[in-house]
Amino acid sequence: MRMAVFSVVTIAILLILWLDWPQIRAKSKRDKVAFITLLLIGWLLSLLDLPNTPGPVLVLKTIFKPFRGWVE
Amino acid sequence: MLDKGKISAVQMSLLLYPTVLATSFLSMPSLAAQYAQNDLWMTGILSSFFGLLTIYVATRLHDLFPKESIIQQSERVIGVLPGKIIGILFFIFYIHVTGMIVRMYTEFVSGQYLFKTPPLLIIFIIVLLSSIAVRGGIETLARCAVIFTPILMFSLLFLLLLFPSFDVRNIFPILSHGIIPVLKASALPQSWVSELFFISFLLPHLTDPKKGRKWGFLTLGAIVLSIIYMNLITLLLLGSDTANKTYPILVVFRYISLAGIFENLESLLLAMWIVGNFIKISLFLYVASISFAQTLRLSDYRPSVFPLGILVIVFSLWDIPNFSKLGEHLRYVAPFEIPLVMVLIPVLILIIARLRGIRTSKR
Amino acid sequence: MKIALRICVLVFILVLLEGCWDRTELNDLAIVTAMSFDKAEDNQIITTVQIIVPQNQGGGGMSGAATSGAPHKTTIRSGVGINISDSLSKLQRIIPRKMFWGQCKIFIFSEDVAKAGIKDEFDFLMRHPQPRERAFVFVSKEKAAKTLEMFPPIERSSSEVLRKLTELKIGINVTLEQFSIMLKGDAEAAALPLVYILPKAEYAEPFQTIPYIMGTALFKKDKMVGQISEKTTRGVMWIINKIDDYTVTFEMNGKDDFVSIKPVNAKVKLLPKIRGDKWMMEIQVRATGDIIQNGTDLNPMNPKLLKKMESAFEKDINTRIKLAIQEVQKQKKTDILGFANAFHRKYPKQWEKNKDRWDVLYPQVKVTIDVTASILRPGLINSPGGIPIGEVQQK
Repeated sequence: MRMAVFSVVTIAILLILWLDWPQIRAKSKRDKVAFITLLLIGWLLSLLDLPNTPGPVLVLKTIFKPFRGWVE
Repeated sequence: MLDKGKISAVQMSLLLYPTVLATSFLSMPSLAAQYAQNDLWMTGILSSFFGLLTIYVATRLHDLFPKESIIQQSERVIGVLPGKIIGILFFIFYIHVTGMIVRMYTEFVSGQYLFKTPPLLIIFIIVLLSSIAVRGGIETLARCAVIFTPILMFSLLFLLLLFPSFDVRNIFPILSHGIIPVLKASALPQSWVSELFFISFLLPHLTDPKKGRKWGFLTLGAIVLSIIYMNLITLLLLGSDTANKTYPILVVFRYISLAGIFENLESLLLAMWIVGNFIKISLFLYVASISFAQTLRLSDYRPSVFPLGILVIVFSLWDIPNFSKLGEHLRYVAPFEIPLVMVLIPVLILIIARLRGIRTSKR
Repeated sequence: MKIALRICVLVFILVLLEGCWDRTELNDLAIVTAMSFDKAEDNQIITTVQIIVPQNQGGGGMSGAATSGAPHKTTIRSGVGINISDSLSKLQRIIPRKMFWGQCKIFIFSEDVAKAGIKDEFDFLMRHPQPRERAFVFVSKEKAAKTLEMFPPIERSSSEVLRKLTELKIGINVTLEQFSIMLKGDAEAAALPLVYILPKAEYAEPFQTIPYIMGTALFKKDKMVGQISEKTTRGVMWIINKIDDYTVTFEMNGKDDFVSIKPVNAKVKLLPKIRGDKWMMEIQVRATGDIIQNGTDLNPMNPKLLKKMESAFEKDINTRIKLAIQEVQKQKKTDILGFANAFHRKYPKQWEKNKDRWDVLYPQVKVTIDVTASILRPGLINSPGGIPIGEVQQK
């Protein structure tokens, strides 16, 4: 699963770069940075073993723990 | 404005209807029945509250600051830096919820129909499809909705074919445990209905912004009616067994059998599911992209769509090893997380706007 | 360049469109029409499936092939395992095609399995995505696999026979979903039709006979606890409001003269009442029908005489229901009549307090029966046929 996710994401990123870089090149620094950052974050996250990595679900569960009684 | 597209108020309605219902309609009767048992049909009525509130707030803010979405409006109202923080919070939230939706979509398709297909592929394809639609702009999405949403709505009428198998007595006893269980049951539908706040991103594109509020409320009405309709039919057919099903509407559709012709309609359900969720995921991704671009003042939102799509895929997998965990999140966290961002924050912004005596935007 | 890209995407989509991993050709499917469960030694389950033989569908057995040359339209296979899933996986070993359940409309439990408790098997049927909730469920008196092994002279398969018989509403018909609702309902009791095998006619091929439905099996929780006869089943059907297109034959004046009424349509309501500590149930029946056979010498065109017939009709219905109540409520103490549901709906508070006592409470419920029957039409003749006019009672 990990390899599959990572390879799919990597291929997707490469395709995206190939498709969009010409447009991005012509734009401002800010656009470039935003674009690259997004891709980078996505790529790095896909390196983890996602389904089993604690993440937003756990964070949110902890934040909303006190409310749980309302919907029990 | 990042997207110069124009849509009509009806198109806006057709975009919002599946956004609220597409994922929820499938399991909703079961979730409601677990709290309210045979009173579950009432949850529709009670869940309209957040919808009314959120549409009111969004349209009010739009009256004050036309042609802007909540992201831009919050910067005006509470200042640039806090506004940016809100913006970042919003788009991360939207990506996260989109990931959840994609996951719900995939669990159903994968678990009930395409058993052997790798779920990652299903996730990838729907995200790819939605991303392409989003890059086409709001007009593309609106036109897709014009074709697809009527399919979704019309197919619901097929449930009426179950009429001979209904047991009307299942409604009784009414409110035997009081109104509290019904309130608890409406917690989840409330959170879905608050997704109507997306109207804030659609109002700037309306050809006639004055119609926004009216059509927003009409959409809410249609949604509430649909919820009551589906809950009622499920109750009349399945009775006390409703709470035990994972996908009660699937069971209901499978049960349709008329004259040996209208049978095995769960394939229709799959079509409804895919089509409805395509619109929903597309709109969510659109809103996320626009929020991202507006917060960071980018010149165009289009390049960010595919990268955000990758993040959506990441979020649909992250920290959800199995269906039970997803279910737990949806039942205990979502009813609070979604209204917090979609209702509470906009309400606060509106109140602050009024308090600061802002009458109209300075343009 | 762009065009090449688009063609690539198009091809990619087209290739995936048939569903690579999940594509199934019709030739690769074994269409299951019925499934049955029997007990094996060591508490194992024998699962038998009846599969359609597609090549033999067209009117096989019609031509003069007198001996066993007639091709069979269905075939059966069995697998043994610890539970259904296990036995099904073993079954797949001897079936070259993938089992497809979309057409499986009949499930049969053998009496042994039913008496031991069907909860495990039932969980499979409800949980697994493929079995259809609208399929009918039965209990078979003999070995359940035998009912699938038959080759009916007219229908395509014995499951087709059972399905059509069920739709004729001779006995109660229970779908999988309805069975689930009954088991999860307030009474925690259920009823399923019983299936027997018709002894075959002398001239028929071996196995050329049909299964048929007679009587009902009673379930408490998930175990079969008893059965009721065909006659009592009819009474029960009156109480649960399943009388539709029925024939009622009753005696008049104790003179051995019988009148038959068909079609009988009835609306039956269960009206619960709680007075203090006493729980009562009124069964209100409104029945109608036309005369199809008049064995008396009364002329039904005379309203007064018709009234006499109607009272006899009412009395007969009353007796049937009383018989059913006697057996199901007092003797067998199983609430398949919907009493628990009726009380819960009307008196939720008292129900909540007493629901744990229902086993004890149920046989004590006092039942009153209120029948109103009307005979609407006399058929094509008025005076009884075959009697000279002089002897007909006109008044």
